[in-house]
Amino acid sequence: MARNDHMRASGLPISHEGFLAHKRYRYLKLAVVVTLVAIVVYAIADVRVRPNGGTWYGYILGTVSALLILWLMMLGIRKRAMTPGNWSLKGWTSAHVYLGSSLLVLATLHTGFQFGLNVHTLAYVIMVIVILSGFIGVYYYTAVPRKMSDNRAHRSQKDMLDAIRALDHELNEAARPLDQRYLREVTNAIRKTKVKPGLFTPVSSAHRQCATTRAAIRLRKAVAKAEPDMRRPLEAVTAILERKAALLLRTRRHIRSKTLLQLWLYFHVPLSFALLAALTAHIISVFFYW
Amino acid sequence: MAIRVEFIKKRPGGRITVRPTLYEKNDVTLGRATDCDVFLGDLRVGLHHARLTQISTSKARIDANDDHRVRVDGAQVRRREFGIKDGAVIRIGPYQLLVSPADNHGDMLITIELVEEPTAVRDKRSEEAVFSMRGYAPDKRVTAWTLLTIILAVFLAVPVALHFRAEATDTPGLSSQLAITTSQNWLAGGMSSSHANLTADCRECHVKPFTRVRDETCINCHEDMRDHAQPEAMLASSPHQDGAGKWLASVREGLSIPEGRCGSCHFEHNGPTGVIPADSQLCVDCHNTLDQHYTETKLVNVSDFARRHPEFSPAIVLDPQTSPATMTRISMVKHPKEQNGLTFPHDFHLKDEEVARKLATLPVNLRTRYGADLDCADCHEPDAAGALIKPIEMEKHCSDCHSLAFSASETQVRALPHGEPTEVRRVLEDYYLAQATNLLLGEQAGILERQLSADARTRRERLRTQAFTDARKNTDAMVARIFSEDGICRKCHENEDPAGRAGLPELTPVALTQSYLPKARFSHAEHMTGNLPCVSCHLAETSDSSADVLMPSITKCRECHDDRPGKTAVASDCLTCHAYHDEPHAGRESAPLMKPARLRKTIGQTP
Repeated sequence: MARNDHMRASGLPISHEGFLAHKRYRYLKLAVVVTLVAIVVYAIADVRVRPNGGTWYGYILGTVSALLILWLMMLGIRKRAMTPGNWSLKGWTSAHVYLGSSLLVLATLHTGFQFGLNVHTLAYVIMVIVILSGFIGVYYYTAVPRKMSDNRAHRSQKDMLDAIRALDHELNEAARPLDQRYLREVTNAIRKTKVKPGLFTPVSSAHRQCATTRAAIRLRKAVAKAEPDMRRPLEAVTAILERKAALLLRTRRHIRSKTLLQLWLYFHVPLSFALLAALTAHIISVFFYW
Repeated sequence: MAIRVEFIKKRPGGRITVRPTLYEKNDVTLGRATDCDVFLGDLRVGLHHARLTQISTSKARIDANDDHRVRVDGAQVRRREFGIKDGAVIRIGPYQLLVSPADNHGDMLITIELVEEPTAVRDKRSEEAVFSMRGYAPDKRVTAWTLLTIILAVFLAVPVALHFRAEATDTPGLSSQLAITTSQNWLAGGMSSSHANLTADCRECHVKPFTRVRDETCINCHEDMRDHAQPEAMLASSPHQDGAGKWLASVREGLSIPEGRCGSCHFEHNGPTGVIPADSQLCVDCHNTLDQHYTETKLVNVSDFARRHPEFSPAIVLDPQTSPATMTRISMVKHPKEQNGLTFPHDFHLKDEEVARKLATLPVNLRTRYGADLDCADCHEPDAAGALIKPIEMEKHCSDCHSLAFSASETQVRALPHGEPTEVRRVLEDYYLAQATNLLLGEQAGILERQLSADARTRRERLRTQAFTDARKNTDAMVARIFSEDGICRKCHENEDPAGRAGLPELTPVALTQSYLPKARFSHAEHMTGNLPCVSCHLAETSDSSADVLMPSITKCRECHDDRPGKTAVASDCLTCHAYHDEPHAGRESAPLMKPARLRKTIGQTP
C-alpha cells in the first residue's frame, strides 16, 4: 500500500473515502456484474415451461437471494464490532449497500414476474420496501452529516443542552427586576419551551411557535415602549432570549438531522426481521407443498 | 414589636440551616424587587408582591399589592387578617411562610421555606430523550419481534398446524373453513381451470409434506391418460445429452427437478390456462432430429410450423370396397385423388342453372330453406361444438332434390329405401304384386271358385298366372331401369358389377372421409371470423369431381399461422393443432397408459 501522510496512532492510514466509494467502488462493480449476469442468464436460460421460482434457474436465484438476505442482515451484528482492513465495517457497509441493491434485480427475476396475494409476494413486497428504505438511508447518510456538522459548529449534544440550561438560569436571574406583564413571557420561555419538535413539524414552524422565539419577539417590541427604569433589564432579558432562540434553532436542526439519519432504520430494521419471517414462511411453504 | 424572619433551608442529609433577620418595625414588604424587606427571588413572585403588617401583639394582616394574590391557609385572597397565636400558613409563589408568635414579648416570627422546585428552569431534558427517536417511533426491537411473530404465526404456524389438524375440507366446521382461508395465502398462483375444483384443499394433490406431487396422485384421476408413443420409441428419440444439455440435466437433477414426471411439463398454479404447456420447444427437442435418433420413424422432422413442418398428408380413401375403408396418408404435394365411390361435382351443385331450376320445383317450405342457389351450408352442417362438419347423409342432405320416390300411378308415390338394393327390389316387388292382386280381385270380386264353370276357372287360372308373371316382369324392368346407366342411382353411384349378388346390380359403396387429418385438431368455429367464406380454404367452386381432395394446403394455414419471431399473434405452436398424449384411434396401436415416472423409466430401459 502506498505511503499515506495521514496516519492513525495505530499506524493505519486514515481514509477519506466514503463507504459508497470504498476501494474505488469495488462492490458497486461486483453488484453490477452479478446483476448483469443474472439478467443475461434469465434471458437465455432454458427453463421449462416459463420463468418461475420453481425452475432450476428460479431455485438458483432463490437460494442466492435468500443467502444474500441473511448476509445483509448480518450487518446488524457486524456493525457492533469495528475492525479495520479489507473486512472493515466500511467495506462491509459498502458491500451491504451495493449487493443489497442487486438483490432487487435477483429477487425480481426469481419471481418470474408472477405476483399474487400470497405469502410469496408478501416476502417480495417487504423486501422491496426494505431495500427502498435503505436507499433513503444511503441518501441521508451522504447528504445529512455534512450539514449536521456545519450546524453543530463543534458543539456536542451535551454542550447544546447545557448552553440552553445556562441561558435559562441567566434568564431567571436577569428577569428578576422585570415587571409582571413582561414576566409571563419570560417564564413561558423558560418553562414552556419544547426543544424537540414534533416528528411531522418542520423545524421552521417549530421555531416560529416556540415560546422562547415568541417571547424574544414580543419583548424586543416592548423594549421601545417600556418605562425608562424597565428598559435596561428588559433589554438584557431580550438579548438572552434571542441567544436562546438562536441556539434552539440549531439544536432543533440537529435533532431533525439525527432523526433523518435514524428514522429510515425504524422501517429498515424491523421490516428486515419481518422479511426474515416471511422468507422463512415462503421457503417452508413451497417445499411443504412441493 | 418586631418581626423576625427566618429563611430555612433543608440540606441534604437532613441538616437544616436557618438564616434569621430581625426587622424593628411592624411591617415588612415581600417581593422579587431588591428594595423589598424580604427578598423572594423566584420569578413566580411579584416585584412588590405583598406586605405583612403586625396590627397588634396578637393580630397581623397580609395585603397583596396590585393584582397579586396570596394563599392564606389554602384560600386565595387579596387581604386577610389573622391571629398570630393561631398562626397562619401563607403561600407566595413557591415559598411557604409560617406566621407564629416569636416569644412572649409580642414579636412575630415568619419562617420562610422554599417548598416547591426552586427554579423554573426545567432540568429534566436528558440528552437521551431530546436527541434520540424517543417519542417519534416505537422501539425497533419491539416492532421487529412483533412483526416477526405475527408473520410466522399467520403465514407459517397456522397453515402447517391446520395441515395436520384440519378435517377434510368438505366437512363444515371452523377448522376446515380456517384451513381453506389460510391455505390460500400459500397459493402461489391461480389454479388452472381444469383443477379449479381442487382449490379448497391443498392436500388433494400435496399428499405428503416436503414430497413433490407424485405421478400416482395425478393418475388417480387421469387414469386413461395415454403416453405420447411407445416407450422404446420415446427412449430412442429423446435427444442425447451432451455439453450444456448434460450440464443442465445434472443441475436439474441436483436441484431435485427430475424429468419424466407429470409435473415436468404440467405446472400448476400458473393461472387458468397454465397447466398445459404451450412451449413448442418441448416437442421440438425430440422432433427436430427425430430421424437421427429413431431411425424406424416415418415421421418427418419438425422444428416449427412456418418453416419446417411437412405438408399435410390427408387420410385418402383409395378403395371404397374394403370395410372399413382403408385410409392412406398421401401428401398434398402429390395432389392425391380419392376413390370414395361417390359421383359428386361440387362446381355443378354450386353454380349450374339446372340446380336453380330444380330448386324452383321444390315445395314452398323447402324452397325457403334452400333459396335460389345452393351454398355450402345447405349440405355441410357443423357439429354441436362447431369444430368439425357432420357426416353427409343422403336422406338428410341429398334427397330433397334427389328424391327416390317412384310413382306407378298418379295417386301412388312410393319412396325407395336408400343404400339397400335388396330392399329396393322387395319394395318394387311388393308394389307390383299388390297391383296384380288388386287387379284380380277387382275383376271377379265376390264370386267363389266353386261357383265358376270349368272354363271360367281355367281362364281365371291363366289370368292369375299372367298377372303374377307381369308383376315379376315389371319389377325386373323397373330394377333394371333404376340401376341402369341412366337410372336414378347412377346419378351419384358407380355400378361396379352389373351382375352382382342375388341378381341385383352391385353399386360401389361410398366411403366419405370424416376426418382428413385425424392427428390434428381443427375447429371450424374458431376460424369463422369475419364471415370467412368456406371457399377461401376449400376450392369447391372449381372442383368437378369428388375425387378432388378439397383440403387446403399448409400454405393456406401459414398465411395466418406464422410462428417466425415477431410475425403474428395467432397461436402457431404444436399444441394449437396436436395433442401430446395419444388418443386411441381405430386401426392403429395406441400408446400405453401413463405410468408413474419411476415405473416408466424402468420399462423404457429394459430392451
